[in-house]
Amino acid sequence: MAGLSKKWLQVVPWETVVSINAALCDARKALHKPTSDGYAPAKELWERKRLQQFTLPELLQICFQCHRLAPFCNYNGNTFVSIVKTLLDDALGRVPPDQAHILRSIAGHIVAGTATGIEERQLDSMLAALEE
Amino acid sequence: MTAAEIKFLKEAVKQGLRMQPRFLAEPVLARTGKGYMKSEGVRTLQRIKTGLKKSKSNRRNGRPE
Repeated sequence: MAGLSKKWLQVVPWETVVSINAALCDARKALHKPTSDGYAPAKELWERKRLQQFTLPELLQICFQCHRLAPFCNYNGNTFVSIVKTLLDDALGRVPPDQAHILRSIAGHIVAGTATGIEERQLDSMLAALEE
Repeated sequence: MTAAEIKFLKEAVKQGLRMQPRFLAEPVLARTGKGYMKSEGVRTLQRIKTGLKKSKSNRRNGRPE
């Protein structure tokens, strides 16, 4: 499963992140606006990592960090969890559907900041099994 | 934007809108250090597993899926 190390963010320029957040805010009539403290560092982190190759756990950490930096006034969690889940839809095409669902679910929890230690260990062991 | 970027954007927005009821608007993680995401329960996983069992059983019986 060498595909789990790749240029994950290549198809996600920062403008896409902004557009996703705008669409999610618009759907709920919430304010779509950059934050004064979180927007610049999140954008800098994203653009620095965008064309680099890294593993799935690193992708989850980058999205979690961007979520925690809160670049937008609203729906930061949904924005970054949607990005990770959509990236995984593509990458896990050959994984059995029940395992892919569990992986996507744990990945979403990690980015959302709600994952338990058990889930993180389960992710590690599932990824190790896929590498074999 | 490239075609791949546009395709990704559409899929990610669709995914985000589907999950939106599970999130709070405000930046909970930045404020508290702990995020919020409502559980989706086990229904989806059960549905996937039922589908897998059915397709395995159809294959065994030689029925088209």
